[in-house]
Amino acid sequence: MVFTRTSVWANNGDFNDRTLLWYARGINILQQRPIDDPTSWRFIAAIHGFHIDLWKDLGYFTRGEQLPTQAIQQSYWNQCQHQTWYFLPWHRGYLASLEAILRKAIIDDGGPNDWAMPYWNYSDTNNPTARELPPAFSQQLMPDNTPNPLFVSQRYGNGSVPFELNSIDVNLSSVLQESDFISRARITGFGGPETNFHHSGVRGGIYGALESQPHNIVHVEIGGRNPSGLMTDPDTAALDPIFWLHHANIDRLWEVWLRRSNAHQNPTKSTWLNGPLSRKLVVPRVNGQDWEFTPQDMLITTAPDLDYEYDDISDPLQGSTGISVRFRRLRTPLFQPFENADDMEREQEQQNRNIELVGADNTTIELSGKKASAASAQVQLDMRTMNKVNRSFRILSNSGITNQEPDRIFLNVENIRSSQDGAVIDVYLNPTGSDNFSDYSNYYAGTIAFFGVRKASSNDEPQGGNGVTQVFDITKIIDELYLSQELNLENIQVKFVNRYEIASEDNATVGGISIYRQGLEIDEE
Amino acid sequence: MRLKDYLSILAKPPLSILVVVSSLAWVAMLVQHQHGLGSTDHFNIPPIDECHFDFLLKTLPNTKSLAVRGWCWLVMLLAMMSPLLVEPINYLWLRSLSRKRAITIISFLIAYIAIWMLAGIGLMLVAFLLKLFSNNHWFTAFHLALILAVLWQVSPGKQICLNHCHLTPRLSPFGMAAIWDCCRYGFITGLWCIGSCWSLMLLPLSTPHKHIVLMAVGEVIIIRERYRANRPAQWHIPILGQNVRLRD
Repeated sequence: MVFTRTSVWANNGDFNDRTLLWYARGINILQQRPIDDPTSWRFIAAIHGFHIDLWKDLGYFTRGEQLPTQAIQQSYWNQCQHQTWYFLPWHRGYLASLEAILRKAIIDDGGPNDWAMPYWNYSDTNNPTARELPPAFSQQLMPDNTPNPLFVSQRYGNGSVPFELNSIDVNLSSVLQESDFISRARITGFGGPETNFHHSGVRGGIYGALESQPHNIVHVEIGGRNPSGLMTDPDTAALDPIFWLHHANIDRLWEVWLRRSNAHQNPTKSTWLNGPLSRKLVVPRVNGQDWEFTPQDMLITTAPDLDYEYDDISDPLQGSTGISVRFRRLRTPLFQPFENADDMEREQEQQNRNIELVGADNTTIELSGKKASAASAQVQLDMRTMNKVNRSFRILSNSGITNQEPDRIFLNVENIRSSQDGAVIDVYLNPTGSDNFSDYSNYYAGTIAFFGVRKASSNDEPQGGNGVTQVFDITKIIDELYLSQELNLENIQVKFVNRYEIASEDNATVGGISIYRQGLEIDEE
Repeated sequence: MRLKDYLSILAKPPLSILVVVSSLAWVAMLVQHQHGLGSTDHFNIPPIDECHFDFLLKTLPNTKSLAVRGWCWLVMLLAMMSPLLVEPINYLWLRSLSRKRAITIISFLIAYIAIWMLAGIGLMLVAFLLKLFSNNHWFTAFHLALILAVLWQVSPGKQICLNHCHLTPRLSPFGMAAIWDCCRYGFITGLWCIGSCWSLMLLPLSTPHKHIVLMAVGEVIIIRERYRANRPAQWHIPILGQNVRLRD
């Protein structure tokens, strides 16, 4: 039987919706189970991440409780895949495991036998309340006046109630227009970079576009900071019931991306399909036994071990592609759409081949400061490489070429480190060098949300020590500069504007900034 | 399927190039070994009956023996350390201007090899001292080196060095600063690498027998631990493939 996952807002997001009512009751049953039971709420949350001190401080682990054996912990716990091409398939299997365990608990308790995990589509522009935390998660009591398992006190949002996400943070136009699943070195991709098993942190890798936004930012904007909420840190995030609706939506967006273009394809490499090589991906079945899976098993949501579909995977962008939007922006009539997906793929292969550094700044940037305070760095650009960028735009005036786009440009914010997760920083380019916000606010590059930064900053953590690197596609800004004939830059300022206060003891820093071009090989003049 | 996956990873540059370099160096080592350059001759560590400081002091400044020693050590480094340089070379390739990629990688390698060559002198002296301490019995000296290696392998210090091997520094893309930063990167990476591998490299230096086998075993351990995820710096005792922590 294929179960249908529906929107949390399908029936106003409160307990009149039986799906949410039984979600709460199911969680309550799982929460009663001991932490060493593989079908318990806390055991499953620890599969995402477990930090004994954090859990003790937050009241989710009490000294003296029986933990699973070391061998079981090593097989199951601290397994979440981030900054990797396994991000989407791992979370799909993880979500399916909890959904099946919850469904069994719900049916055993007399609930509906077709229960499925709801999803939170915060990007739905047709629903004016879509960006608000659904009311079932914000009220402390259930309709029968018992404590509401969907409510957690360590969920702080941005301080104001009801929690509401910013529209810019859940805008999907950029992420759904990513054409490639794999994030190549130093440039963005939909699903993440090619890695081995990759729990927390990064070794020179980067976030996938979907993981960066809306995934990371929703985590920290719901969890909140000072102190960190459950959702803010990967080691506690899965303890919050809203985590699962958030990830159901991320999983849904994977389906949306795949369906919206024939050129959007999952990786076909065996190292992805049958990976990772170094460690098994494993979650519990409803009977507590191991379920080992690979990304290959996660490709079709209606396959027997997954058994679900979404009620809505329509394309919110109605088919527009990044390249068509770009040519419209550049006001060129020359572009002719690719006749088929193979042509598009060949074009991408050609362009992906050449990625090179355009400029960099190597000073450490301190990010601590009050809300709205701004740090800045001046990135020196290599004139010979910038000359290549400029020449790539000449394509637009050559009437003979019809489907070759000029260079794409990427901003890399490298080695972001902090002892705390939760910071949110808006990044702008500032070609004029002005300190007046209104002069550079139009050059918004993107937002850094500190989710997993704490773990990635510690040398002791797997893949830790180098912090995280965030990549922004700034092609749109470069196009604007080209159109206003201001592309002959020798350097460019990057502004980091704190959305909230960052304490100095967090030691939040950026280790360096670099700018890359992606395009055809062009000889230097 | 798994073998095919591993081979596809091996085929990707720069790993494919580094594996070729390493393989050629291994062949060179085996050829040298066949021609009588055993471990004691290899690094010209004096035989047991000649093992005293006077001999060492007389031998060390000898230009020819220094060159032979240096050559043998360099071949061993290329054989054992080349497969570990994938991350730094990838980083240098991406983080340098395209016209400077070759020079930045060469700068890194020169500094990395230079610090390892210095470490070679130190390790040969330690091997020599172990022999002295063991009254010139290589068997005792080897077991002392083995105890040192086991202790270091399970220690927090080893893990600290391993964890630091993966750190990537800031690199300037412009001017002489680009070259200098890459030299510094090679030097620092080399230091952490020495900290991580010295005990396994000492083993073949402390015995006249089976040093090729010891190097091969050391190579497997070094590669496995370098590509493993970071772990907390604490005592680890591997038992049946699992790590038991002595303290939390």
